[in-house]
Amino acid sequence: MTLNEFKIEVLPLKNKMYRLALRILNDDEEAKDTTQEVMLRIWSRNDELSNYRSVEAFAMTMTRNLSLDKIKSKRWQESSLDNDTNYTQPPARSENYETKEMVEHARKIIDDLPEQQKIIIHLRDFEGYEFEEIADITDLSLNNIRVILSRARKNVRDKLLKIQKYEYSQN
Amino acid sequence: MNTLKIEKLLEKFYNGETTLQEEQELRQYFCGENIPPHLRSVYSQFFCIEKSKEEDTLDDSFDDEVLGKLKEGDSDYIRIKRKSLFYSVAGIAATILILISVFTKFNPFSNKIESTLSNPEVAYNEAKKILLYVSGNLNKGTDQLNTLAKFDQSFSDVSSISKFDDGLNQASKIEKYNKIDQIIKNPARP
Repeated sequence: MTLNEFKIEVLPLKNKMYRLALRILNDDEEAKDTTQEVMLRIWSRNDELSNYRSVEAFAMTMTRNLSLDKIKSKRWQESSLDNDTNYTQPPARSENYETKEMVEHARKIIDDLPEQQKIIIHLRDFEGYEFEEIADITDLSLNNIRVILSRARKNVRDKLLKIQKYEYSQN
Repeated sequence: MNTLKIEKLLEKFYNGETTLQEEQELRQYFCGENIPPHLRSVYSQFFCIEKSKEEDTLDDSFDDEVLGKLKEGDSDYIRIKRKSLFYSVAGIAATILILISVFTKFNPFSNKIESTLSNPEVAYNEAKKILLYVSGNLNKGTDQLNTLAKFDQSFSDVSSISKFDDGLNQASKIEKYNKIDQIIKNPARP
């Protein structure tokens, strides 16, 4: 791969890679570092690249793996007690405050999902990947992906409903 | 789109069975107006999805950073990779060498003591013969050791030399005689 091809094929994937890393790591600096590291690795594995069906799947797989590695070593180093500090305060009431607030809630709920559910709901509902592509990235079977995705979506729905009920009872 | 169809689609959605196109339909529906109240709770989820796609991007400075690192840094990365590869290969080679040397010196798996004789009777006799031969030679060796006793004897003879030592001690008294002799010859000196 020449530098030009790299610029055309790999570099435009940066946002997708970054968002996946961000979803897993929950830290924008680290997500950026991870994306950069994967870019450099792809470049250094130039010759192997032709073995893969798509550069994109390869890049996303590497992003996923590296992010998971990082989150594991991070958890090892520090307890996940400070997880709650990421919780952003819901915006002030406005005419469509309800939706905005629910968006924040949904975001927080997705961030708190188990890793596998989080990755798959992200790839499908946020990045709009086909199931086959997700299978390439995650190395899971199509059936498995459907089951995990279903579980993740229901999880988010149930938690949103719970929050909603709680807020209605408060008002 | 009527509510019934939406509800059906939603069910499919939660079972993970919708296609990308159907999901797009759902999204469009829930981003529009006039959503029935009993469906409102779920629509925020799609809304969230729709919105967050626009955010969280990396700007051009990231591109420059990566391309810069590719030009100067990729050799660095490859060097590190080669180094670690060298270490692992060296480790494997060393392990193999040690294993080979151990196995050629004392092979724990091959049973070297194999019987060359098929008949146990013959083997017994053969072994007996060899053992007798060894014990015979051993006795010969101890016989020769007997001559050592002679050495012991002569050693006690040598001890009579101490008498000579006694005599020497007594002879030292002669020195007094020597001094007196000198005084007699030179009476002037004290």
